[in-house]
Amino acid sequence: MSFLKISNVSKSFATTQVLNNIDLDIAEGEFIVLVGPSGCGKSTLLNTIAGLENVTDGQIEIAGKDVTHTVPADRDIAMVFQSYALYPNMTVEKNITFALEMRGLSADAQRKACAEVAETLQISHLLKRKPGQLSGGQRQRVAMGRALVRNPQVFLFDEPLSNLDAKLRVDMRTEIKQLHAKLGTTIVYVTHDQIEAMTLANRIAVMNGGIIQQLGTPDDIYNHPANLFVASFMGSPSMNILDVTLSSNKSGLTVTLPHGESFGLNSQKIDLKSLKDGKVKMGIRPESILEKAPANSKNFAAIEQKVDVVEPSGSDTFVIFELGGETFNARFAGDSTVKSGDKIKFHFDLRRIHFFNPETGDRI
Amino acid sequence: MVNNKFLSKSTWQQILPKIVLSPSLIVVFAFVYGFIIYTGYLSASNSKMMPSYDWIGFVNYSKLFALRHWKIAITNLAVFGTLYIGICMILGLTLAILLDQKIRFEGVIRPIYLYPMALSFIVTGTAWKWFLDPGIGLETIIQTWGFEDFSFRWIKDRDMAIYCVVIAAVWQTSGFVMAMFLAGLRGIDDEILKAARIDGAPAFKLYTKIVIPILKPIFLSAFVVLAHMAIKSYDLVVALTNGGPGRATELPATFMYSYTFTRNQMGIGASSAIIMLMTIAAIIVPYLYAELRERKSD
Amino acid sequence: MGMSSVASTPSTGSIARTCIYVVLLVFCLFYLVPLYVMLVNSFKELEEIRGGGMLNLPENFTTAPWSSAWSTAQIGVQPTGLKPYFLNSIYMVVPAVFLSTMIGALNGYVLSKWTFAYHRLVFGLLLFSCFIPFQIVLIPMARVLGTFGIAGSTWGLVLVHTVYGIGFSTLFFRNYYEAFPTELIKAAQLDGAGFFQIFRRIMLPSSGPIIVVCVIWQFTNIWNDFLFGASFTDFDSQPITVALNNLVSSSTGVKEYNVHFAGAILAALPTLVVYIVSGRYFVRGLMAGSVKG
Repeated sequence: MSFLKISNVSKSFATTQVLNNIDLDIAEGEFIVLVGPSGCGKSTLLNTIAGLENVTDGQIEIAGKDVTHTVPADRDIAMVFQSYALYPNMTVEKNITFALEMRGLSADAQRKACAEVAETLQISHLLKRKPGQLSGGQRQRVAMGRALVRNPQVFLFDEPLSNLDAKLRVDMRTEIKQLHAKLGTTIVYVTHDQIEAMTLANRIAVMNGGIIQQLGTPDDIYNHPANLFVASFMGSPSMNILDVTLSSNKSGLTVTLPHGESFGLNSQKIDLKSLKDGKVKMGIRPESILEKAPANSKNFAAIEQKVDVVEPSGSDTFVIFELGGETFNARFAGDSTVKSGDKIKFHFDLRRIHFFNPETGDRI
Repeated sequence: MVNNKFLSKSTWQQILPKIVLSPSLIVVFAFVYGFIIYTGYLSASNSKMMPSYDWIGFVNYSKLFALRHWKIAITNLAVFGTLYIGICMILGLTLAILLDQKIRFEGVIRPIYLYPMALSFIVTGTAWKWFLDPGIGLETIIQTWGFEDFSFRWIKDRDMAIYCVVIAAVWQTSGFVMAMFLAGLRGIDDEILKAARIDGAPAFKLYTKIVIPILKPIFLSAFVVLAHMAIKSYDLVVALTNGGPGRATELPATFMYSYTFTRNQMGIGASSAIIMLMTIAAIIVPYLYAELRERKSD
Repeated sequence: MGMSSVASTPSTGSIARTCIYVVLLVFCLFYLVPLYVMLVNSFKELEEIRGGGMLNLPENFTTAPWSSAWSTAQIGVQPTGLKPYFLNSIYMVVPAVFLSTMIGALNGYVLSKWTFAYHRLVFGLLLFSCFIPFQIVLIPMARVLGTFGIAGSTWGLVLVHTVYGIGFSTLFFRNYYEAFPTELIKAAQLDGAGFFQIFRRIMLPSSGPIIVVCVIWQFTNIWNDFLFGASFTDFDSQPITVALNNLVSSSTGVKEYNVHFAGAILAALPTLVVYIVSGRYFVRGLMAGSVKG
């Protein structure tokens, strides 16, 4: 049974439609990440869940209650903002207890709840300070504290880590995950960082143009992208895409590259009828192009190309080459000795090739 | 996605802001725009000492522009406005550039240039009225220094008195223009200047080719502020010369006041006020429009 | 204004720098001379001023002009000095500044954080009211004040100054709150605070600087106003600027320059003190009133 149910939600500002008929069912205790490029509507969707923005159309339910027209304060949700949005004139303690005060809790109850949360987040020593006297990481914790103290039905996170430096971001990411494991509260988390999405989520909703492009587990999203957008948005460096022609014969499918080279596929079954002359877009992730492959394996196609650029990154070596007019990126081992200008064989893992309809962009 | 509309459907919270704003709106609409319409109507009526609602069309306007008194007033405004705006800008920019040369006592000098802005024009007028008075002021001072032939009686001279208004007005506002330019100079991106220096621009070229073009918006703002102050100038003339000698320093603002309240020609007074409003609106409205639009694209 | 100057290093020669200092000094004199003249001559006897030497320090130091200007000088028909008019100005300025600042704060809050369709147009219309030549409202305003029975009273002036002060005070607060993070208001809404609670608990406590700027601006403008004071008051309710002008320009009797100067300084004193005490905020107000944003 879904705990947070978003049905047919649309939102437009003046003439632009920001959300287009969104449906999303979230189970209790689930950690959902909304990810997408800026302007894709993910923050707007979060704001409509919070009640900070009205929907133009559709319905939002939390725990079986229709909250579409409920004020934010009565939705039993808490939110952590990108800028933390700490009240600059109040102490940390007042920041955390403000919501409790607004709900008419006694001063004693406020203090007790605050102390508990401060303990959990290890910010007890900061309670008397003002936000201006805190570091970025400490502010982040206070912002989380303000959300936790409410003990809400749903937590909403709006890019909460994007103002932190790289190392702190990784630490906080882990902490958020631990917190979720401990509390088990439903979380909707917005980010543009796909690593954050992959590491945190139970399920990811990839958004673009006001539409959920794909909803699935991180594994689903990464290994079975529903369309070209999801395929190229998730993963870094992004998936290599190339226009190829598919044709079938007795032994299976044959892929013909733009410059005429071809290789056979025997494992995949594809219905070619819907395609015009067998033209498709082929996608392969950098880590599926190998420097060395088992000898005589039918799972690999070797394609010889000149190496253009080599970018060692320590753990990996990224090798950039050209194929059929597109720039390809292959992820080799960190100790690879390939040099630019070398003519080498790139081994494409045929089990990990994706095909997309060039017109609709959908996965075939 | 900048967006401030975060209202919930709770109707009360939705209309509360509008309820809070509406008294101001009603008052301003009545006391500003309603009054403008009312004055506009009077300008087309045969009002004399008291308002009258007999419509006579544009008669007052043709009468107005036939009046020698009005011609003097608008000629004076043209002379005064041009000199006042021009001198304030040149002086303000020059002083700002000089003050920007890592001057030792900037913190002392800046407030000295700016304090006249805090004074009432009546005070400024009083001070300059007696300082420029030939009987006791500047002329006498220089004469007692030994230059017995020295003569400076502009304030008593029909042809020159308007320049005394310019002097006093420049004295009052040029420091403010200086402060605007100085803020502009201090706001210029350091890296642009570094780049220009590395490109080998000499100090003079740095100002003419880089700095002054960057300050263009400030010229515009200063112009708008000074122009509307020039058109509204009233207090200073009243205190300094009271429009005299004769009518030598009459401005539209003093003209309007005397025709409306002392000469019992309210219709003509109203039409002169409408002309003043239209002149200011021609400057202010495009400026405000541009200013408010710019924010939209942010 | 503590940012870096355009001039990088004092690379110009010492002669050039001396010239710069000389020019700057000459202009210091230009701006200071009128104040100096008013000050020294307000402590002189009338005979001494008539004998020339306006720039000299007083030979016979006297405070008589000051007591005359304050309490005995002939203003209009009464020998009251400026004192009652100074008080009139205070009775006028305090409520008018308070009201226009409060209204401006609320307006600015609505126009930046609770925007609605056409809020920009509304703001533009409010703003335009700052720039109109007030001659345009003199005739109808006189009639309205007459109808309300507050013509010729201090309360009439309070009303006038409050109404025409709203434009600028709204501008100050609107631009200040515009830069105020909207996420804070969202957070407060989630925490359960309403329109006025957010204003009182979140916005106002952070508005100190802009309140000071607005109060100083309104105080200076309203104190220094002459046109409304001259148009809408009778002898008993005139503000000090009008009284000073009457004192200086009265055509009867001898011209008591020393008393005029003392009176002018009295009229200028409150705004000068404000300027000296908080010049920084005064400049900020000037800037905000001209260079928006």
